[in-house]
Amino acid sequence: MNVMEAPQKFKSPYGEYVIIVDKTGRKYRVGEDVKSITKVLLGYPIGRRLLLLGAWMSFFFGSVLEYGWGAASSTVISHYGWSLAEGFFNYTVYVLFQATITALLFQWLREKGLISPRRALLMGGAMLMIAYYLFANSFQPWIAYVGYAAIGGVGAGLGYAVGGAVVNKWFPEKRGWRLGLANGAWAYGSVPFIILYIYAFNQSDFQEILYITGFAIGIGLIIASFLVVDPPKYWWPKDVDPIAAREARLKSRELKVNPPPIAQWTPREMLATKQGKAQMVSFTLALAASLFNVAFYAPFGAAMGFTGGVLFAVGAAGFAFTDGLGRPLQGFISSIIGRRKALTIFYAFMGLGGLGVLYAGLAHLPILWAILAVATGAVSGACFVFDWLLIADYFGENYIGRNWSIPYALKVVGGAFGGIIASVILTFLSGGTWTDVVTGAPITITNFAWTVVFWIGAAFSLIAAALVWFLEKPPTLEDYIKVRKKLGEPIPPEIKEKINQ
Amino acid sequence: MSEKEGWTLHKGLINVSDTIVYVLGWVILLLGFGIDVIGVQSHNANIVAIGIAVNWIGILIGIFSGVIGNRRIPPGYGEHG
Repeated sequence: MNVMEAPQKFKSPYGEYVIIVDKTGRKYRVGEDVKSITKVLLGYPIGRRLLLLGAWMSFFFGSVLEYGWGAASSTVISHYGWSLAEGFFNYTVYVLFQATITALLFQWLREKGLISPRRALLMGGAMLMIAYYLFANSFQPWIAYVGYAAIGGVGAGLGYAVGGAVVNKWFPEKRGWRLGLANGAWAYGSVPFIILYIYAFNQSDFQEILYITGFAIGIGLIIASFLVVDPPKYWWPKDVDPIAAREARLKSRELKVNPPPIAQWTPREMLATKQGKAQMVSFTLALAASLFNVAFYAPFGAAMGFTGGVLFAVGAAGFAFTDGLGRPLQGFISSIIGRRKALTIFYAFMGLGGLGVLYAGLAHLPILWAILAVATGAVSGACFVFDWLLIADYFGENYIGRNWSIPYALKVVGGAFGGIIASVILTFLSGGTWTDVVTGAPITITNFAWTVVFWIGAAFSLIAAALVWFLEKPPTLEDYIKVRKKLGEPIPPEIKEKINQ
Repeated sequence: MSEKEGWTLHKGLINVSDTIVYVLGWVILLLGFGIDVIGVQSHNANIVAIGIAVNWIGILIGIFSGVIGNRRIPPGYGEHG
């Protein structure tokens, strides 16, 4: 094995291993078998395929709260007699708990070894069931906020956080389509439920449909909990030489467009770079536009009179479907043309596509509306995939868990726009008052109001595209040294060695 | 922290195994659910509020069971990983 220093062998309950450090300071723990690790930690041996299935299920069954909301919202709001803002406040609360609270808190507990993914998901499944029971019986809005949106948000958030890290940690040498496939389930996992909401969700079977939803996704998450576990820190598959894999990647075509990180950046260092700051802003803006699309495409289609037809189902369910399936494809495209260029194109397309959806709807062209909704869906999840890919490529793998979760925690800002803020703007611009915002008075949203919020979403996407293109170039060695000096940290030996080369 | 056979013991806020705390979290979560059902059946918002509060106590105890109780952390995980 081509290593920088003769590795010392260590013993663990899972077998023997060595620690290898590459030129960027990235650590690899090599030698332990997957099944030996899972046997010790879970009590039964499972391989990487089942771990991938567990991660995929974690995403799949948590997704309906986010992607099913748009299709379910009209029936829920009319059933309870809520205002648009009262209804969509659920979405904002859900995002707050799913992303911000869960990502930060759970990630912290997990990194310290204070909770296992299995225990987290097991409880997450129960939370989803309780959340939907309360949602089906929210005779006052606050029951939905603290019961359904908050409890369900934590349950779904546990699924998201567990699934993402399981794929990342168990497939360090070949994430590619696996991460896209699993992460995409976060969107296309909701498709069966969206179809259910479009065709069978009405006042007469309101509770039954929500009970079915909660029971199905809760059981799904509980089953997934038996197929998830983290590997030891820095684990690397024993049959792949990490240094040779890195060298091969350095020679590959992809290197030209996606160079590996020049160092392993801590969260503090990442945030001290202009790329890190730009990623925080561009991710938040793109995410706001994306969550607006997720939450409002279906209600907008319904407002334009498209309900009842197959095209409405195609547009609403197709959006979530391509949002999910588009993610592995985005990863693949970015490996050919480069992360930065690909992400710029995807964000720009999301902005322009959103305007297309708006004007196709306003012109009452259901076929064009459905086509554009499906096409925009294919790029709407880009921010989530690239938060992993870009940060891993730019800032390394040693601190990926925490580096990823920092921008992701800002999802609540996007959730605020895609939920309460957009609905308040829609209400005011349609001639409504605060009374209409906080009470269940029915209000007809005007075309002008739809136009304004869609344009805000498009502007967010286009600004995010510009930030990625102009500010998010891969950090250089000079950037790293500058940041270390700025933070008063010494230059690591492996970096000094690089400077001298 | 104390070490035994490569595993580390994270001492919690109380001297009880984290598994017991986790199971207790589950019990409280389900108790809260029972109160939720009673509140919904009687259409009483106050009872539902108590039920949801109990749900949250159960969730927090379950999720933070490794902080509250003593947790054995396998080698390669946690701060010493």
